[in-house]
Amino acid sequence: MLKDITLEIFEGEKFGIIGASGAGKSTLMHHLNGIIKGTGEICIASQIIGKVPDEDIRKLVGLVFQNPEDQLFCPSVYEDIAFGLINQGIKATELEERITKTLKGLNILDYKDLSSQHLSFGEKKKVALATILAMSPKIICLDEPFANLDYATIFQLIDLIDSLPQTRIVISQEILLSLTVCDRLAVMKQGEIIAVAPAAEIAADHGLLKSAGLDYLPFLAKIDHLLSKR
Amino acid sequence: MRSILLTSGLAKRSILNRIDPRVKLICTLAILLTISAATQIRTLLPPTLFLLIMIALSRLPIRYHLKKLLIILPFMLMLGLLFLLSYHLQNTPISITHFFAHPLGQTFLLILIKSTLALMLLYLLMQITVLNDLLWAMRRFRIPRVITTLSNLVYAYIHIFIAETERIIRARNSRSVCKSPYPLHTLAQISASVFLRSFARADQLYKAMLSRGFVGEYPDIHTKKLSFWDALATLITLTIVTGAFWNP
Repeated sequence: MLKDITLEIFEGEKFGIIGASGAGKSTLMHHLNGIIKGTGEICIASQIIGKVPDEDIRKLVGLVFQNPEDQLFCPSVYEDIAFGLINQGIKATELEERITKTLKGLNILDYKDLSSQHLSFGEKKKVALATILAMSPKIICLDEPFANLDYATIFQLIDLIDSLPQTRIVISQEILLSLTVCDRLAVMKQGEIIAVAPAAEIAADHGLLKSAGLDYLPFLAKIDHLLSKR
Repeated sequence: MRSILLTSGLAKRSILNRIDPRVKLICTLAILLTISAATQIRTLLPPTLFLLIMIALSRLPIRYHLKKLLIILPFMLMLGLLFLLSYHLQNTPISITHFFAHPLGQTFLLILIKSTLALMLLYLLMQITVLNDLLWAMRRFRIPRVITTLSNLVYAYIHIFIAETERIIRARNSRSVCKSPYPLHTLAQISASVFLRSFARADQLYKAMLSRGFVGEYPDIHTKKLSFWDALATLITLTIVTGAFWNP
């Protein structure tokens, strides 16, 4: 349950929402696209959710879910990417070109005719991102984009997210990874936003991070301790 | 099972891909009607020839089609045997040695060939047409959108269902030392898990669909025009249908 959320995100900004598990980050993300509707007011590019058709909002805001398996449901990667474009009314003649361009941009053109169900987790994450990028939304929300990925894939994703021209909202539990892709961070705890500040400021405030269950110093100390024992 | 249910539009390099899905659908229906109306094996020769030419034009490996035929045949045999059984229960039994000379044997053979041809033809239609195009063609023929949308969703969800089932079975096998087939209570547990997980996943997927602009139906994106290839396909189909019923 979200409580008293007031948040302003600017056009083209790289914004992060961090918080421990169950803090309400994903729920907040679902509100941004109108999948979940609450009692408050959300204004996306001068359009208020609930007062304009949901389709208009969904053209503006693309959501990349935490678990790519929750996002991919078509028999092939091609069809999965085509799904959103078809719903946008993209003509068949343009469809192929848009899909190929997106897949090329992510270096996954070879996956085009494969079944999403048989890809590795990292590959599925890229395809899930492709399904949204192909739709060219103005705002892209990525829920835990770095979870369960190897470092090589994480670095690729960091570069990719950094190169996107859209407004990016990255939801994560990882403060260190959020620092690499976000300029400003909001910290959530039990459905509330307890701080919004530049990313570097948030990262330096260990008291705040500790209270939100995100402090990374004890983790670093633990690694140091374990290594010193060997 | 996956290969029967989960493939559509595989024959991408085929010349048949150039034919408008509406023409493919109508031609297939015309041939299907010819097959079902056939009362003699001779009538089935032109549709069989048509199917063989289409298989050749699909440019899919012949063993691929043979594999499908092997999967279909036992079901068709069962259908024929059920017919035989129903006859046997009502009438006197016939000798096995003169079976195919007897009208009953010929009817059995006719049923077997007709059902196999019909299924192979439908299967071929799936291979030479992407499902979305096929559903678009159905919508153009005023098939209610609710039916085409449901077909599309069912087709998509079958993948999810099979993937979930495979995962659960893998998880079960990884913790099992028993080599024998699943006991009944394990099967019940697996079925319940598959149902619950599929339900939860379907809920998440619906959210994913909504987030990508799904409003309950698929909009039409095609602006296809009929071409020379469509006229040719229609002409060939008409020839086949006429040839089947032509009695000099």
